[in-house]
Amino acid sequence: MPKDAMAQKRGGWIACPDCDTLHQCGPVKAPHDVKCANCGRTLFTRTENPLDRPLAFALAGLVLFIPANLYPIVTFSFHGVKTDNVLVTGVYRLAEGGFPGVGLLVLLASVLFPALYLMGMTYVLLCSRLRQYPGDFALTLRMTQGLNRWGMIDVYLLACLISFIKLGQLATVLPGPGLYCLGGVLVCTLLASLGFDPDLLWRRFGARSDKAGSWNLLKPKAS
Amino acid sequence: MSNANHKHRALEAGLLTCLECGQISRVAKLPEGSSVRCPACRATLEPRKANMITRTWALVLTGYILYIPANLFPIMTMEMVGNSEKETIFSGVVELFQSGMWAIGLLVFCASITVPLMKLVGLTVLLISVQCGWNWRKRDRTRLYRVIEFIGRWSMLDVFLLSILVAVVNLGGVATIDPEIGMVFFASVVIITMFAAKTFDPRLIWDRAPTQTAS
Repeated sequence: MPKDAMAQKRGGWIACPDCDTLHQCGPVKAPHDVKCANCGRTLFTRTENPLDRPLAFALAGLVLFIPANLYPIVTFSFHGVKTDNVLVTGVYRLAEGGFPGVGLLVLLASVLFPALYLMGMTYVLLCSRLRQYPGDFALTLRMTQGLNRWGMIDVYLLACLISFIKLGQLATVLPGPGLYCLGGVLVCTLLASLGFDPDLLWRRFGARSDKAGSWNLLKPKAS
Repeated sequence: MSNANHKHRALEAGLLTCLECGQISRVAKLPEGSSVRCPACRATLEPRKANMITRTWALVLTGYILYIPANLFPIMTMEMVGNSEKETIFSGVVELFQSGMWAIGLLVFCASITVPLMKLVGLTVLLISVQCGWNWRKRDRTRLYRVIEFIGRWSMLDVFLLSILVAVVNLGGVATIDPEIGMVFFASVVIITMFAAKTFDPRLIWDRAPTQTAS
């Protein structure tokens, strides 16, 4: 793809978000981490297949997300009585117990944010691949970058593991099919976000394309 | 990939960096109370995050205050065949240790008790160091900030654990687990410290470096 090579070459300047050091950045061969020479922060990671690979994993994650929400995650049987839960059962029970705020937090961090992250990633990667940039492209890419930290399926799965150990002494606890699907969602999300390269997407969109010395002058606008 | 032999800093060169898309722009002198938007992605451009020190201090102090009830109040009630038992975060860890699962106990102890406190103490140290303009170990302090920012989400472990426990152990009179008020405080601590880490601007650690002012 010669146009991609162009987009990578026009890199120009980049400032470290953690220490504000300016770097001049030439074309980068994938796979490569570019780190700030001053503070060591990873500025961006150039990966192989930066559009197709994360897109494939994000789509796979979205597909697995449906059974992960529908099938029980933990099955608990105590003296012959059986209960199980899906992702949102805990949310419902927390709200019912008088703590809708905590329930909402669990709903956001374990269901909505991971789903939005995968959807946002799919959307921006598709846009960038087709070189069609609708008006909300920049906003979606910003949202997707921000959601990376707030989707917490990995933490949720660790909590499942601990619940098995905690409840294992009281009764029989078994993993449900939802747990395996959720594990699949986690693997897909991780692999997708490893290959996801917002820097490249911004460059293809047209940001960061100024050559040194010819910065565009912004006129301040009263607010 | 970078020219490290002479370090220029964006703001000192009169350039604003967009934290969202990385676009670098030169901006004419900003009058008081005005704002500019990034030409590429339309995010608000600021030289440094606005009122960063005040905002982060407010969140950190709130975090300290909420940390106390989060650890004192019970987070759940366990009712097992007649006898009911209230559990705090700490007693949950102790119970895991007593039943011999010290590895898991240690994990929960770190995620729920150590990490939130370390985050608060770490941000306090960073804030004081920035306010006093310390010139000391800038790289390490930036690294400390990155660790604080990365590790915070794992404190949600206990919140998720409770949401699983109350959903699964719901057998009426035989065995029930109900959430208690402590969880509200605990969840607030986790969220507030995550926001505090997000509000902090590590570029201020580097801002008063005398070696960097020469351009």
